[in-house]
Amino acid sequence: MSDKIIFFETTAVVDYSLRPEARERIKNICQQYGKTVTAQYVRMEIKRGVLQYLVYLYNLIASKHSFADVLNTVSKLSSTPQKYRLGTVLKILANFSKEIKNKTPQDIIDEYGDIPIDEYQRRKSKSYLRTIIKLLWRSIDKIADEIVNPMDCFPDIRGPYEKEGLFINKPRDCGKSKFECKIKQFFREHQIEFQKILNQLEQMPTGNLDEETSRRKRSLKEILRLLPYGGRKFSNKEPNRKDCWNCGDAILAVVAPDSADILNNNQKHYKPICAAINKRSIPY
Amino acid sequence: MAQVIPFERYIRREEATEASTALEIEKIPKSITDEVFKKLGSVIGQTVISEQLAPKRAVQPVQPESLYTGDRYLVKIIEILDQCLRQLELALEEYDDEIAREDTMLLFVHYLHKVSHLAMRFEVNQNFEDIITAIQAGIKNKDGKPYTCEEIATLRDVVKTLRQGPIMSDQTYERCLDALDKDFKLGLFEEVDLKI
Repeated sequence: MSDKIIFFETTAVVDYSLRPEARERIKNICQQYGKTVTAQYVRMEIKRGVLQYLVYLYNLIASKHSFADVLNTVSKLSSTPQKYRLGTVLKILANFSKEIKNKTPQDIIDEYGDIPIDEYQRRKSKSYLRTIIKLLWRSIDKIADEIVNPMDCFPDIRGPYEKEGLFINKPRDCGKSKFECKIKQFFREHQIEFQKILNQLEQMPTGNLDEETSRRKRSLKEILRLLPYGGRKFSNKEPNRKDCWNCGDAILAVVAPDSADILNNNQKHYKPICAAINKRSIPY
Repeated sequence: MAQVIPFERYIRREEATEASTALEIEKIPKSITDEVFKKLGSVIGQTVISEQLAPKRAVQPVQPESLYTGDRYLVKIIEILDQCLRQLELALEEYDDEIAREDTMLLFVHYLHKVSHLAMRFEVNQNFEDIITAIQAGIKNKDGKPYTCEEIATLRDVVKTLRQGPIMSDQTYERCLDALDKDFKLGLFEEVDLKI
């Protein structure tokens, strides 16, 4: 058994759980490693990110009387890329349901009655989403041999639960946790690594920086600036927790054990970050 | 580990509980019940006859014939699940003959669609319905690839569990989900893009 460690960042966990084609690739890579590790921070990112979208879709479907209503409501959301992604998901679910309904043998329909296509799409999509939500949350524990959490990130996080036919995904982010995290202390202990990452990002031509990297650079600078001052707070209980969220990729690369390789599907972001702190970025 | 109570046994257990409750009530001495009726009559201002106070069963025992009338879809579901199970057993028996096996699996899917329709039509149980949807999603994600022996064996085990009764507990649901997730690709369809 190899003693090499592979660290799953957030997208890797989601893809392993929900993307069948990615799972095969990840499984093959993992065969070369003896241990898989992820972080509580990943759980937090999943909960306030992809899981929240899935829960929203599920609750929307559960609250509406028709699938057409669901599509109509999503079409009225603000014009963001997320709105179009949600719309696309719904259309794919609608097609899946329609496909199954079309294959329903006629004899059973004749004997027991039909279900209108709109209602069929609503029920089938809801059923499918419920499974996906449960799978995703459960898979985090199943994937990793160890879940690290040196900064006490969101220790009271809990999975979405069902109440009166809806999923409750609250508290959605660490701001609502009962505990204060130690992210400032974590940054202090790893100041050199974070400074190296910032230096690396600053060397990149400004024109090459995407919006996410620019945000990361700004927030890293801000965090590193406040570290020497004991009186300046930085935690999930402060408004500047968003700086922590903006640095997600950098934090995950640093929180991974020293000897770990970082499994990700975003070389554009992870390659420079990992290079700065002498870790390997492994694409899948 | 939670056990699923087979549907037939579940009904019998309900009947047994009802019967024993009725027997216990009958054991109360007549002198006490007469006294209770008298007191109650004085409170509500009218004579109470014992029949009015006779214990009413909250749940009426299920008569076998009702399964063939009002709830006959439950029997139908079990019957179709039996057909599903037969196809899966057959597919395992003839596993080495690829065409015969895949043809048998087509029949399995055909019957599964029937169960899916009935489960949805009569809103049998959310967990039960979701496991059927999960199987259908897993089959869609196979994208026409031939079934492996492990996949068929997993389907057989899950269908056996479904066959035990449509009232599926959360623990059984999770057990089925884990089994399906191990051998099938239950996740999001390839076209879905949900960037974090």
